[in-house]
Amino acid sequence: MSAEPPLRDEEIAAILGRLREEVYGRPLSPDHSEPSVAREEAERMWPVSPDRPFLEPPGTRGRARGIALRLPKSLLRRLMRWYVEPAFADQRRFNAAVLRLLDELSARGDASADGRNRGAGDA
Amino acid sequence: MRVGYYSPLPPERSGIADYSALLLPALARRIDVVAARRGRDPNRADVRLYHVGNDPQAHAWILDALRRRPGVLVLHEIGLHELVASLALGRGDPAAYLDAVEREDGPEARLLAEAALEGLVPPLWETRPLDFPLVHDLLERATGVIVHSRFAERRLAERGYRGRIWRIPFPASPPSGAGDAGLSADRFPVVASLGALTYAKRIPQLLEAFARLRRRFPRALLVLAGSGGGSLRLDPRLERLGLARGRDVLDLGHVSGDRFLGLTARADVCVSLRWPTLGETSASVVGALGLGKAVVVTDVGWYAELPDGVVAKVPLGEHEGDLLVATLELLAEDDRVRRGLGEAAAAYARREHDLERSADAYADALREVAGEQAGKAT
Repeated sequence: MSAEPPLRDEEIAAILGRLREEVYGRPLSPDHSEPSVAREEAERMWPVSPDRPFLEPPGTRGRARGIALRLPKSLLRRLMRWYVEPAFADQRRFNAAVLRLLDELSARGDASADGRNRGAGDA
Repeated sequence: MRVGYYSPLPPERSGIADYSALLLPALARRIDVVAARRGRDPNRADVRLYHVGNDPQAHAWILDALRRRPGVLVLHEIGLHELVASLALGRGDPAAYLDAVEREDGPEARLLAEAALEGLVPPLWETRPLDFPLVHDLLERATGVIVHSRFAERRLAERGYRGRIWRIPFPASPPSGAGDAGLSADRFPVVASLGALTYAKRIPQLLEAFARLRRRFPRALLVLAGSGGGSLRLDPRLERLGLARGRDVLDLGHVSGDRFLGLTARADVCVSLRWPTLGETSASVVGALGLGKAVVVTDVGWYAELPDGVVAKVPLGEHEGDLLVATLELLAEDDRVRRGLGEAAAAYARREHDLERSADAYADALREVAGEQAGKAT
């Protein structure tokens, strides 16, 4: 057990505030990704898969229809998986590679811009 | 005074059903309240209280009831674009959705919505739910609105709503024996993101941060619990980050209320990121505060209203990932900060999220509406 007295709210807020300032003052990690709507959409969509959630139309009738169709849909998916899954796996690898490539290009662009800025500063 | 109470209720899997399961008994100790059954209006009610959120399966019948008889609207989320779109599109009526968008936000918004339906831009309910909240039709039928946060109150006023708004804090469950989390005792830190698993909870960003945390804390474990994980397509994401399902990340799906509490209690840090926000108040965050957990949230919406010494906030932006990792590392390595944050959270939940106070506020608001209606009738 720690014998130290518990931290007060203000002390915790100050510690977290200092951490934020420290992180904001550091160069960005190479793992960081630039936030943008397009990037978020790409991050959301790249792992394409034939396994999609079963959706049901609203209302009692829609729900009953959705439940009734769930079993045949599951069965059909299983029967077709051997055929469609390899193509989806290739597409996922390709999508992930494109995102990595974009990140690398973006990092190279940032590095080259930094170099130019430093050069201009030295001059 | 008799209150007709329209809400999903357990065993329906809905956060609002759980909310009502907590609130209804406390409300029934104060006023005469009768829960409406799906598709049936209580015969005699002086005031009707409608709980609305974005799940079309849970709320379609409540919207229909509100259209028949006005009443007090409890907006658990103030961006209802997904609800309105799901109902119209699910019924095969895209024109009704586009008309609703145009009525509320004009022809330019309609063009955007059309582009979204054609797949040219991401769906508006995913990217801009508060720019186009689609609440106007509901507000027109409301005799007053109950929200849970200042953020929601302010946004409704900004949308031009001039009726009564009551801000009633989201109640936390009274502390009780949490169920067994079923996790090995030697894992540390256990990071948990609990509640429905959606993109808005920024699970991909959390996975990336967790993968970086594991480099310094190889015994770390990430626990995801809640429905909806299938649509996140976790496996290829884990593979890309070098994480293994079962070893590094547990995706438990929907769990019982007891296990949910048990997992929250076992977690060393609870993370609840959010963007875009729908103006919601997170039940899982309120629950984690109540259990005295260190909680990390995104610095937006209601989450931003939580005091700085009570939760750790991560703003959106280019530093989000780095700050999330640094915060998780700090909480993992500094026991004093982690415990201090948890103690501050528990004290805050006792002060601000007390069930009895929330039930009192509901009863007062409903009595006020009943009094006004009686005054108008005489």
